[in-house]
Amino acid sequence: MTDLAGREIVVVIDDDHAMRLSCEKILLRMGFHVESFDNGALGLDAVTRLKPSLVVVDLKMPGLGGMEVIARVHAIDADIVIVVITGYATIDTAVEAMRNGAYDFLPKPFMPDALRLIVNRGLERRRLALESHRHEQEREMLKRRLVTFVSHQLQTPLVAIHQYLDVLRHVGCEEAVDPQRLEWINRGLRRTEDMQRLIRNWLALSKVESQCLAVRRERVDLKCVISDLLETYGKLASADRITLESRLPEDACCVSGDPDCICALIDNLVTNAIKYNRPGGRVTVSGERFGAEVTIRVSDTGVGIAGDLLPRLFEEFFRVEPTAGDSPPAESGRLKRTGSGLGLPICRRIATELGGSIGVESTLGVGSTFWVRLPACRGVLKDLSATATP
Amino acid sequence: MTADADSKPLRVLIIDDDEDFKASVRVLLEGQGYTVFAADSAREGLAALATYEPDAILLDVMMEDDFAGYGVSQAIRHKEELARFRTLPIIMVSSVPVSPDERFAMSGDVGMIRPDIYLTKPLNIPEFLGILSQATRQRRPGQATA
Repeated sequence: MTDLAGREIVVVIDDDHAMRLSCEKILLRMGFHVESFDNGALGLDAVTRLKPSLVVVDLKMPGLGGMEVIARVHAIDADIVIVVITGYATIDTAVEAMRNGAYDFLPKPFMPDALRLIVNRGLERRRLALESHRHEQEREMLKRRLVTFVSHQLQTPLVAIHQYLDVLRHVGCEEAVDPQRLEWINRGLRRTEDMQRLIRNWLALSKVESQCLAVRRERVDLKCVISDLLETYGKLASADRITLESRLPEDACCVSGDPDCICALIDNLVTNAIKYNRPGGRVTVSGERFGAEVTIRVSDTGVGIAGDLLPRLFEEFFRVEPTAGDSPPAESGRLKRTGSGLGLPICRRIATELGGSIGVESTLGVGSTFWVRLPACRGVLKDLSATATP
Repeated sequence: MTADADSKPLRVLIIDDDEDFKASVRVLLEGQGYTVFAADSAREGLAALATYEPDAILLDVMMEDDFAGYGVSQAIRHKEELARFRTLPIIMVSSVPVSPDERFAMSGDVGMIRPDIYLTKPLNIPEFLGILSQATRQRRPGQATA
């Protein structure tokens, strides 16, 4: 930090009066604002108060030793440059001082130029470090803004396309309409929904990556999330004559976390169960609260997944491809429809981030059950909103 | 499902700056026998109230990137010169899945801005038509029609 006159602040801590004076003289002449102290405790007070750019400290002092001062200054602000001076320089003490956070080491006695050189070099490094921190922060902010901006720019036209197709389908339903036309409208709708899900997943992923999940914790009732989703996907499922059903307990199944991410988690499991089902199949979503955990199970009556592939399902960009050649996909236990390969990895990251776990059980020819276990939310709404940061 | 053929058609005022939404919903509603007047902004929408005398309003929450929609609903509920429109059913729409008043609820009393009906874009068409038909039917019997 600089003083009111714009000079960088340097703190000198040394019990040797003559040494303090000569350091002060050199540093003042270099144009710094210098404050010096004859013991570690007073010096540390000043460091906290003045936030200097650089600290010159003697290693051997009565009371609070130099090594301790170095460690504490470093803890106050790791960007403060610490230059150590001592008359008892050994390799070992130098290594220890550096390990505690010192920038460089100057054995006594030293020439003024030697101090100037080290101070200038140290401050130059500090400037670079500060600049790099600033770039890092800017980059992080831009990234977050980009995610919000792009997702908005992508979602707005998709919502419009979705609405047009919905209206076309609805208007078309009333008259005897070309079945081909209706089929294409339905396909268009399905594609649009896939893309909207992809954007939601991307948003959820960027939240997981920027550790936003830990920040925004709201009470979310999984029962509401599930019934909303089943209502939304009713149409999609009925196109393939797939029945959606839920078995949920009387009481609320509340968990705490970012609502968008929790929705994305359940959404991926439900849409997978619909996509990879067989025509006329069934999707069952059940939930139970057991002790401090809520478990959600999403079961399908699809072709199932081969046992050797189960552990790989949650890997990024892994997709179960149909096996070429011998048997048709529907019987081979390999899924015929493929997604982005991002859904399940995102589910796992969200579940883990929320302190839970996710897994799958599958029987070839019978179907698969994906389960997710999350810590149940115990507190009442009021308690939670008090801890939530807007 | 269609508006009552015996009386004059039910009128819906759409206030939204989203051209696509207005175009598609207009086709949908006109197909159902409603007549539709579309306004681009909160100001234009409020002006259309008196001239158009709608039976229901479809109101976008977020116009010109702010919550102008709430301004419209508050004006209708609280302004003296708009008192005769106070019982008009207002269906609020937004592309934000969570009603903004739920978001604001954390900061205190939101009774003033809580919408009666809140729907998300894209509209679930059967649900929307059901809600609109119910809202306008409830209103027509009590309304003095010329």
